Amino acid sequence: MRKVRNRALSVIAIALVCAALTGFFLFRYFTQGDKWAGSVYNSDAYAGGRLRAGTVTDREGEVLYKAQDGEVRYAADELTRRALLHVIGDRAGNIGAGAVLRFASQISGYDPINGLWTPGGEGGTLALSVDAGASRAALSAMGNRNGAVVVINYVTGELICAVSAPGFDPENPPERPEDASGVYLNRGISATYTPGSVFKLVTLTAAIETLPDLFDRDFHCDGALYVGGGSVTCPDAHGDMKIEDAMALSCNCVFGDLALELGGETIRQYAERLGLTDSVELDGILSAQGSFEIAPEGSLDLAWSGAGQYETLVCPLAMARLAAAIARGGTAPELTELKTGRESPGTRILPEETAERLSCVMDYCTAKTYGDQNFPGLDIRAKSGTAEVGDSQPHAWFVGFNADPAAPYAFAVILENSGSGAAEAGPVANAVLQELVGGG
Amino acid sequence: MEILISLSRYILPALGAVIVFRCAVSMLSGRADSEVWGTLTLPGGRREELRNWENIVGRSGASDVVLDGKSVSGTHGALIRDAGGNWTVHDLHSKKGVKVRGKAVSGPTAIRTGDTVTFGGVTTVFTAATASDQRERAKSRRRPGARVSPSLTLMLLTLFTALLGLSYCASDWEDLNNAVPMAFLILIGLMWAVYAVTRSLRRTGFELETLAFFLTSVGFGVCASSAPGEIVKELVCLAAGVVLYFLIGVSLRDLALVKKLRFPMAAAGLALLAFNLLTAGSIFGAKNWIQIGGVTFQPSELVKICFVFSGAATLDRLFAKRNLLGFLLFSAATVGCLAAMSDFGTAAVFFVCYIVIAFMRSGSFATVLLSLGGTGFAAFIAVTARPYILQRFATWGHAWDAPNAGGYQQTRTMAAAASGGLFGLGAGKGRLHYIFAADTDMVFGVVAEELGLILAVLCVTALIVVALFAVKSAGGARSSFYAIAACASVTILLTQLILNVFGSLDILPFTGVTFPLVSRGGTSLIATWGLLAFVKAADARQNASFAIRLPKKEKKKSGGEDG
Repeated sequence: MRKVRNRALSVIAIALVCAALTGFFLFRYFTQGDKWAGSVYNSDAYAGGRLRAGTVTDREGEVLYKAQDGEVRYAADELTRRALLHVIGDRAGNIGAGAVLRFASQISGYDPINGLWTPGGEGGTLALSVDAGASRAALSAMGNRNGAVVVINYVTGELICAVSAPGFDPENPPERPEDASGVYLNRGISATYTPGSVFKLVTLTAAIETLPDLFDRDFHCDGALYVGGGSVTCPDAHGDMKIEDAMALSCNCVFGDLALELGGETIRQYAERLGLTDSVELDGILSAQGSFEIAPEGSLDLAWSGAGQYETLVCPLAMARLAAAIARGGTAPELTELKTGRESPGTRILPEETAERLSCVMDYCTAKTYGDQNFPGLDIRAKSGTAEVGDSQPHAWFVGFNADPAAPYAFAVILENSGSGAAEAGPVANAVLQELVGGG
Repeated sequence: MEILISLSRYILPALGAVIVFRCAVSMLSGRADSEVWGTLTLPGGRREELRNWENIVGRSGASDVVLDGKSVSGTHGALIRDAGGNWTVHDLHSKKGVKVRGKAVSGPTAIRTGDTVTFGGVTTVFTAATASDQRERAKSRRRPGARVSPSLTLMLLTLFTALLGLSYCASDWEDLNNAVPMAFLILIGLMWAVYAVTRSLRRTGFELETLAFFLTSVGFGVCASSAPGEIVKELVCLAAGVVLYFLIGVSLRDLALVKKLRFPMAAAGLALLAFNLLTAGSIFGAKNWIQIGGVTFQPSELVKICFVFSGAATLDRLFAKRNLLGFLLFSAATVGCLAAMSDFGTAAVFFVCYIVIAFMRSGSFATVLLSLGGTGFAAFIAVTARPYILQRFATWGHAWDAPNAGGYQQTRTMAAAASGGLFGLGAGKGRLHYIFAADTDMVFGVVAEELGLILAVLCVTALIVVALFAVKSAGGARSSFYAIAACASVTILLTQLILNVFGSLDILPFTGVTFPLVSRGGTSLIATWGLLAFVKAADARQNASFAIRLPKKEKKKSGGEDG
C-alpha cells in the first residue's frame, strides 16, 4: 500500500495545477479586471450600448453626463453639451475617444474589491480634467468655424479644454451617420493639419541649436527668395532684421533660407524630437500622428518646408504639448484627461537654454506683432500661423502659453479656412484664457 | 431583514470560508493513525504491523514491511486479507520464492496466526489481529469530529444555505417561484437527514458531505437565479444522487462484491455509451444527450462511475501480468465513443483519469507514456480533427480579439467576474445567466458575479480539499482498490473543475464540461455524488465512514461503549 500511496501523489500534481491556474487568474483579475468590467461586452456595465450608472463631471464638479438605470442625461444647456461632446462621447458610441467609452469602469464605479457594486447602484463619479466654462468659451469664440481648441495645464499635464467643431448636440444626434462626416472626430486630438508658420518654432529650434551665431546674424528680406526656378514669398519686403524680428514678422524668406542651410534631415530630426511626427499618448489612446517629408537638398520645397508648408502635417495636441514644454523650460508634461492636480515630472525634449530662448522670442512676437493689449492680464508668448491649403482660405493657427505660474496654460488653436492666425485664432485663445483666469 | 440581506454579500463569503476551513482542518491536519490487521515478527523479534488489507513485503523501501537480506527481492510477496478475515500470501514473481510453514508455495496460499512465512532466506512469523485486538485498537484511535465538531460545521452550513436561499427569494420577491424557497428548505432537511443517518450508523466523519452540500447549495443558488423553474428537477436529482452515494458506499464495504462487480460495471459503461451513440441527436455540437420521456439525460456522466469501478484494482491484480491491457482497451473504447459524440471535454476528463489510474496501477511512467502515446494520441486526433474544435483552439487565449465569435462566452465570463468584485453584486442581481448555458459552462462567472470572487474561489478550494483528502486517505485505505478509486474519482472532479473554470476564463480552451455540483445539470449532480462515495470508502479513520465496516461488536452485552 505504501507504493500505491506514493503514486497517489500524482493527484496532488493536478491539485497544484488547479491552484496555480487559480493564482494566475487572480493575478489577471487584479491587473485587468477594470478593462473587463468596463468592456462594452459587460451587460452589468452597459445596457443597449449605454452605461447603466455613473456620473462624469468637469474639474469643478459640474455634471456633464449622468447615467442612471440605463438612462443617460447630458448637461442641461446645449452649449455645454456641444462644447464637451467629443470629450464625453455620444450615446451611440460613435465617438471612440470619448471618456464614456474609455473610462467606463471608473464611471461605473469599478474597484477590484467591490467590482461594479456601488451603494444604491449609483455608479461612480469620474472627474475629468477639462473645464466646462473654458470649453463653452472656446466653442462660443469659434463661432461657426470648424477646427479645434486645445488647452493644457503645463504644470500638471491635465487637458483643460479640447473643443472640436463641427459637432452636434448629443441630445439630438444626427439621424443618419453617413450625413455626419467628420462630426465624430475630435480634431484637436485625432486630426492633423498643415502647420504653416507655427512650424517656424521647429525651424527656429533647429537653428538655435545648430547655428551658434544665429542671434548675431543680420537677415534681409526682399519679399521673395528665389530657389530652383521658383520662389518663397512674403506678403511684404521685410528689409533688414534680426532673427527675433524674422519670427515676429513670420518672414518666409528668412526661414526658407534657414531651411536650405540646415537641410531637410536636420529639420526632420527636430520635428521628431519635439514630438510632432509621433503620436502623443493621452491616457492610453494615441493622438493622430504628424509627418514631415524631407524635400530634396536645395529645392524650393525644402525652403517652403522650413516655413511649415510643403507636405508637413501636425496634430493640434502635439503643438500644445510643444508649447507646454517651452513654457516649462524644455520638459513635456505627461498628458491626461483625468483630474489629478499633481505636477507632472515630464520628459525633456529641449535643453533648458533653448526653451528659454524660444520663450523670449515668442514673448517678443506677442509684444511686437500680436499686441499685449489684446491679452489683458495675461503674459502670452505665442506664434501664429496662416497655413496655405490649396485654393481655399488658409487655416488660422495660434500656439503658445501664458507665462504665469498662477495660470499655467499652454494652448493650440486651429480654425479651418479662416484666414489670418493672429487675427482670427488669437482672439479665441484669449477668450478661453480670460475665462480660465477669471474663473479662478 | 433587509439589512440582513444587504449584509449577506459579506456574511455568505465569511460563512463559506469558515465552513471550508473547518472541513479542511478536520480532513487534512494530523497524521493518520492507521488500522492494524496483523503483525509479522521478523528474525530478532522485531514486530511489524500490517496496517492494510494488502501489504507488500520486500527489500525496497517502498514496501509495507521492509526485509533486509540479499535473498529478498525488492518487491517479494504480498500478505492479503479478505473481508472475511482470511489471510493469503502471494509470491510476486520473486527470485527466491516464498515458503509457508517451511514448504515452498506458488499460487496464493492461506496462512493463519502462528504460521512461519519465509521470504527468500528471511523467516517471519505471522499473527492476525483478533476481533478484540481490533476493538482495542479502535478505542485508541482518534475519531474525526473530536477536535472540529461536525454538527457545528453543519449548523454554519445550514445558516449559509438559509441565507443564500433567502437572498435569492428576496431578489425576486414579486415573481417568486414557490419552488425556490421549498427547494432550499428541503436541501437543508436533506443535509440533516444525511447527517442523522451517518450518526445513527455511529459514524462521525461528515466533512466530505458538508463540502459536497456546500457546493450543492451554491449550485442551487445558480439554479434559482438562472432557471428557478428547474429547481425541482435539481432537487429530485440531488435526492437520487444522495441515494446513489449511500448505495455505492455501502456496496464498497464488501471488497468481494466489488471485485465481482468490476466487469459488469465496465460492460454497463460501454453499453451506456453505445446506447447514447446510437440514439442521440446532435444538440449544440455535442451528441452527449439522450431524451427519455421528456427528460434529458447525459449517459457519459454515469459512465464516470463505471469507469472508476473498473479502473481501480486490488493489489493482487496490480502484479498480475498484463493487468493493464483490459483497462487500456476499455479506456480507449470509452474515449473513442466520446470522441465520436464530439464531447471533447468529457473525453479529456476520462483521459486524464485514465493516466492517473494507469500510473497508480503500474507505478511506471513508461507504461503511462506508452499508453498516452497509444490511446491518447489516436483519440485526440479523432477529436481535434473536427473543425469546430479547431476553431476553439484558434480563439483560445485571444478571446478579446473575437468577442462576438469564438470568444463570446469567455469575454462575458471575465466581464461578469470583474463586475462582481470580491463580494458580488448580490444574489439574483447578475446578468451573465441570461446567456445560453451560462449556468453550466460559465458557472464560475455566474457565481463570481452574484456572490463574489471569494465564494467562487472557495468553491474551487472545496474541491481541492476533497482531492487532497483522497490522497491522504489513500495511504490508510484497506485495499488499493479504495485508494485508486478515490484518487480516480477526485481526478475526474478536479479535471472537470479545471476545464470548466479555466476554459470559461480563456486560460484553457473552452470545452463545456460541468463544474461538479455547482453547474446546473441533473445527471452531473447524480454522478458527482456517486463518485464521492469512492472517496468516502477510502477514509479509514476510526468511525469516519459508513462505507467501511466497523469491527464486530462484542457478543456479551456491554454498556453501550459507542453511546
